[in-house]
Amino acid sequence: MKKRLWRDFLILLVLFLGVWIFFVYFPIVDSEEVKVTYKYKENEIKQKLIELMDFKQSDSDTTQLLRSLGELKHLVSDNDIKYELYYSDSREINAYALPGNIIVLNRGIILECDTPEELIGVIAHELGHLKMKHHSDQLITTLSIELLLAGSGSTASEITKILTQSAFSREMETEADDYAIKKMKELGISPNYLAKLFKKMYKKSDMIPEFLNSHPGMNERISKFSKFQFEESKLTYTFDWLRVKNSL
Amino acid sequence: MSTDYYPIQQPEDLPAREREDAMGAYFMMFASLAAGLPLPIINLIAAIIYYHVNKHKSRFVRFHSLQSLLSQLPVSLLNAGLVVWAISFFKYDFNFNNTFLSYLIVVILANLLYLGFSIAAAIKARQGLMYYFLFFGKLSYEIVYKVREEEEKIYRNNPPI
Repeated sequence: MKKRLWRDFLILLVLFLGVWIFFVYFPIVDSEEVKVTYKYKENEIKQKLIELMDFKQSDSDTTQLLRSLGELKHLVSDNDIKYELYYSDSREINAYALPGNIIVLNRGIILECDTPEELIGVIAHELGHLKMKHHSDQLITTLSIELLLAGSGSTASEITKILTQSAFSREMETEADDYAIKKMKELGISPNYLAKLFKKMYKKSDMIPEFLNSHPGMNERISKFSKFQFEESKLTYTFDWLRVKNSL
Repeated sequence: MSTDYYPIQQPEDLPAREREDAMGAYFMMFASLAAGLPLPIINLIAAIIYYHVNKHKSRFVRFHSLQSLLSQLPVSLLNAGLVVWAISFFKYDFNFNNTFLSYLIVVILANLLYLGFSIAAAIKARQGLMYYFLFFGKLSYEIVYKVREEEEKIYRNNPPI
């Protein structure tokens, strides 16, 4: 009986592996085609979102602002991830990372930054979210549905609501903060610049600004960045930050 | 080592209740399938509970319950593997390749085979008949029907002195 059992077991194993290997070499569906279709859909969602929200891409020569954002984007780079930096004309003090490796900076947050280094900190934080793939599938699905409905009455403000309300978990925010600290140090910028930005935002508003709302405890966060000694950054730029801000 | 086996009960010896219990072992899967999706592990838990509840009944019921449970193990493992593999796409990278697609086909085929054989076994069990799956049938028969020495021990009550 034992011999028969082993024989049956081997038949099952050979059947399983045989069918698997057979379809690897003689596939019914070409995986490359599936991959291309998926990527196409991802790009389609990205393009629709950019058009609908009227995001302006950095690196463009059209305005001084976009040129300067392009310069900052080249500074905050990561070999593992290629991202696009966009500007949104919203007054809300906010910045966010979106599926499809997009970072969006609102006019509100740019105006809050007294120095480009503060904005670099914000970009590095958002890049941390992209690098660690923090986006939930739920956000991608909700966005896709909203964008599909966009033609039939759904407005950009509804999408903005989804984007700003889709909070990352506390743990994810801490990870993104740690990434921002690492990135700023690499660039020779003191992470204390971000503490300065947060303090300003907190003082200015009675309510906690949107950018900080979903993030770890406000005081906890400020003290985390304040631990680093403030040192004037030695980075030089081709633009004058004050002028850029005045152009907004 | 003993190679004796208990005699297999014939359809005319089996009461309707036992046939239904044996059939239930396979149909249990359908009921738990609805609750279990997309967690294949729930089916398995249901099958284990069903086996434990019925293991003290006749060998015929025990055999079918065990065969249903054992045959569900690899299918559940294959399904769980598929779920984990698919989740890893979203978590890490969309590395969609032929190895995954083929695995998907194998899993679908395994589930279909399992479903087909289970229905056939359930019908046979209702008729009071044995139905042996490849490997799992023989294994279940070996476990349930083989005469073991420890089972043959007769315990008797004796006075204290």
